Amino acid sequence: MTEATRSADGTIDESVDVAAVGARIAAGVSRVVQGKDGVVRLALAVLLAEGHLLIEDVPGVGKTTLAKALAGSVDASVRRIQFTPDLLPSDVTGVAVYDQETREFEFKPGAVFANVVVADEINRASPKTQSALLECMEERQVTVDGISYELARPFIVMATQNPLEMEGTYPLPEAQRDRFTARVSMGYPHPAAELAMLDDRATTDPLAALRPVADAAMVRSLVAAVGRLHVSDAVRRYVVALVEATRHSSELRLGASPRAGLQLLRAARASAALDGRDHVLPDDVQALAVPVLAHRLLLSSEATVGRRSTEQVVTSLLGSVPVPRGR
Amino acid sequence: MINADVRTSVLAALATLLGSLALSPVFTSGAWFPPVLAVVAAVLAGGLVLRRAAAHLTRSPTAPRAVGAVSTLLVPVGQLLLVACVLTAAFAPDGAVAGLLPTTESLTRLAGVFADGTAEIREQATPALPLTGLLALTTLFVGLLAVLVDLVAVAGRQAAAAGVGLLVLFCVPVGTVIGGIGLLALAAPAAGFAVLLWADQRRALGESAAERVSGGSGPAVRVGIVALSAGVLLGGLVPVLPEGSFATGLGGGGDATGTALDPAAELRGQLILPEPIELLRLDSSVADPGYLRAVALDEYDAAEGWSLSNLDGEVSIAEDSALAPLPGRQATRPVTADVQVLEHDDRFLPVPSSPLSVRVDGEYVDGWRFDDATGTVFGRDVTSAGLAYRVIATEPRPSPELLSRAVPLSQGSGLQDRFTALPELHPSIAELTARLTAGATTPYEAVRRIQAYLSDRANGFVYSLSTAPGTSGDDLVDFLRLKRGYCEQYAGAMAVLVRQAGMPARVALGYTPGEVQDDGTRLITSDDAHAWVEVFFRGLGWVPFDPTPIAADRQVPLPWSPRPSAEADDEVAPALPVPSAAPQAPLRGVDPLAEATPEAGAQVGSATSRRPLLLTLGLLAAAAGVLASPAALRALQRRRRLAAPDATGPWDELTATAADLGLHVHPSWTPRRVADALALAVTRGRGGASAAASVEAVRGLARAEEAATYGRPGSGAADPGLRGALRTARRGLVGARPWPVRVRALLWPASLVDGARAKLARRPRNVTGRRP
Repeated sequence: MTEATRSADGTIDESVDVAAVGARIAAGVSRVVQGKDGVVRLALAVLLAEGHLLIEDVPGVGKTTLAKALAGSVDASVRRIQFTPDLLPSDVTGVAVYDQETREFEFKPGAVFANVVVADEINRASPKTQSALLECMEERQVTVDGISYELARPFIVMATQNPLEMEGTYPLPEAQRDRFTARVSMGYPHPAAELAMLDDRATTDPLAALRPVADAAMVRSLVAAVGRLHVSDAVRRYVVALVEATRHSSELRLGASPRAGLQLLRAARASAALDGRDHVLPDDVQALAVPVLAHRLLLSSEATVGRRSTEQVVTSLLGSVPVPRGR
Repeated sequence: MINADVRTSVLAALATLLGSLALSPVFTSGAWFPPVLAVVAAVLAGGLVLRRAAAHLTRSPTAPRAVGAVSTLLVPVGQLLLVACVLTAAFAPDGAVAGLLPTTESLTRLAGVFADGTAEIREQATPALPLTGLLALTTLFVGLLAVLVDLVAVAGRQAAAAGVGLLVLFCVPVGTVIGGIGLLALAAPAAGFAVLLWADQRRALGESAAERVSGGSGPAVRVGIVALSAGVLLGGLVPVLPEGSFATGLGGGGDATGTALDPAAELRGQLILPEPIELLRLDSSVADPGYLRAVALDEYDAAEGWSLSNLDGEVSIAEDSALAPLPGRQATRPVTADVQVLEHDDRFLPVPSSPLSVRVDGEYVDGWRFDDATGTVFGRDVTSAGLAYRVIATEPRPSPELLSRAVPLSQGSGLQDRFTALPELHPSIAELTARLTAGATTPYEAVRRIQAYLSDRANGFVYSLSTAPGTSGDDLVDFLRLKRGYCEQYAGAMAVLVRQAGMPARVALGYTPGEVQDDGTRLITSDDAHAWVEVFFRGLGWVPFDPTPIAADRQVPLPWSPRPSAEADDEVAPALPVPSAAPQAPLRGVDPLAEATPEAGAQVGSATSRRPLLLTLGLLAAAAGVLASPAALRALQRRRRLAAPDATGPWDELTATAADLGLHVHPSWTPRRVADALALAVTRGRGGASAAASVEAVRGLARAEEAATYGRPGSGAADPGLRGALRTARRGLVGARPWPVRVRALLWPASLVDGARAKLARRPRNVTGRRP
């Protein structure tokens, strides 16, 4: 993402913003979440693609920190909801309360009214509360007592989730997993990064030291720039071919939805823009196919018995679907 | 893939059959084809059944993996057993179980048949009679090739490479047949090769996509057409064979040569042997010995030509009396000839004219007889193999004056009747004889005129071992009209004309005295086989005349019948007023051909020694042509790609080069990934600045391809620098590979087949409709 790379790839003016600003944001986040450049970049791409991110991993690897760092790098409002079994839908969306003085119902916005919403341990809440959040994610508005309230823009939900076999969780149904643009797993940090972290955190909190490098308006213009990227017919056909291939794979019970293809292309656009290109390459699609597609798919029983994962299936599909050529 | 295997098997068998049609000019009849058909069918059926059985075995889940490998190997073994069964059934059914399954006894018989076959190959010249041993060998040969082609095409999945088997078949007529081998023998193997290419491509397509796509056979057909055209052109133009041109090559022989037991046919067979066989060693008492006669033909039939009517076996050469003394008036020359038999093996003993005594060192002296009427020494039940014998003879050396004084024989004498007998001839022959002999005052003059007419090239006669096909149904009439033939036709025609003119004549067969060796003896080879004419003059006996325009070094000096020398052709008019219908102009036309034929021009000295060289050169040229054709197609493809208006052409060319060099580029790879892989291959192969430049060129091409394919419209315009980049990248790739890979890339560019696959993969419905 240096200047040299970008000029070699044929940069044009309108995407210079995206790459440069994106690089600044990523650098900020990386100061907090060390050694996880790939995850940071994916989170940024999801933000620019106007999607939502599902971060899945065991406790304590920095899921929440990533969400907070991203929010902190962008000067935007952040709300964090700790999902618990007794969390109510109105805690998420907000509630209309009767004001004795004005004798009117007044809307008290819930946690979802922010640019970045960190939904911690989303699978610990009851399905009813989960679905309340997921409706907001899709519609980008909250309707209470017949009145619709627009949510902020940009709006990204970064939900963290413990692996499903942990106790006391309500797994997200596949229909709701489909709402997330990408799922990412943090993974343990590299020993060197972990060592550096132990040193840093002893004295200061890097989150507190984080300075925003962009504001909400800037992010909105970045999102608009991403939407202007050129997508060739070949790349569109490639996305369709990949999505279609998941539907025909003998290893999958449930393939990817049309929404998956849409979000895959949108994420690929954002990734290309972060690279400073004005057009999408099949490489962008390939790089994002696993995080964007894998969490939506259901393995067939044979594949489950064979201990395959949906990530492996998507990877093998990438190795077999030809990259279309020609305009 | 079972269905694909079945299809490839059937196509491989079809290709083998088509290739075997190349053998058709080797045989005189089509009798060779049924056993060949049977053996190919057996191989095909065996392959299908055994492979189906093997597929059943391997499909069962309990079968270990090794079963598959073993069954693949067992299929050709089974096919070979079937070949043995077919051979047994066809050639050695006695002693076999049910006449089909070989036993030790039947195999011994079969080996005997094969031994006969090798002997028959040595004895016969092409076109050969389909004798049993030869048929058995042919069937074995084609059967083995069928197994090989099947193995390579089906189990090896290299149908195109199996074409080498067809090339082997094609080499048989090319190596053995003199003259044109006919369009069928040229085209059938080429068609077979096209079939194999098609099978190869179908398999390649079948592996890359489930659907059948029509029109995918285009490249195979194109390659087939190129191969066919190359075959036809090379077959016609390469100076492999003395007659290898369209002018005479495609027609085949029009002569009615009979069986190998017919002396006349044997003569031609000897003359067209690809390599001369050393027959006799002659040690003569004179420096310029005359012909060695073997036999004389005395009977003429318009349909069958000259033949030997009868031999009188009463007189043994062991008797003391002189065998064939010449009349006292004849001028003679005594000759003593010691003959050592080398490879000659015949019942007719070659001896000088008019032998007085023959002394044979061998055991069967009594077996050799002398037929006075034809002057033939022959064995009743023995042959000349391995003999050494001494002949004392008085060769006739008449002066022209002596011959001019000879008067015609009286009608009604036995000799006159027997040796002037002619069947009813085409009227044109009597007409020609009358025209030639009009005004001749003596028999000698008449004979001279007839001989001069035939041997003077100004009349358009050309020496040619393959006679053009006639239309009249009478070979003699055809010869006199088309004026192409070899000694047998010349001598036969002259003898008929002389008989027609009323003088006794016969056709003598034997040998010219060969070349003088270092030790002073003369070596007589099969190339020296010859036919000439003997005319009987009253009071002088039989006198030889030679109308054939053979090479100067083979000519036997006959002072009484000087032949017009080759140098004198243009300037000197014929010694005798010969009516000539042929103008000079056509002579120029036939001259080059005549020069090319070994025995036509006097200038051609040791033409026979040049023949193997020409054959080798021709084969090399043909092989080079076949080898170069994929490279030529590839070069055409490269030029077309470079002419493409955008950057995709150079990129296609780069990936094709990589595929040629065995660097696999998967269709699911993006240009960047391909560039990474190629860059790795380049840097692994060699380091240094040139590698770095090549890597940069590869990446530049990938970027250009990305911009052209995925960028905004108009961003991928043709960049003249791409050609240079492609050159650099190609150089880097080629240089990074070991040389055997480079040679293979040049001779057998894999991208020609992969190109069709990629084209198919690019079709949208295949992209979307695929299962992984």
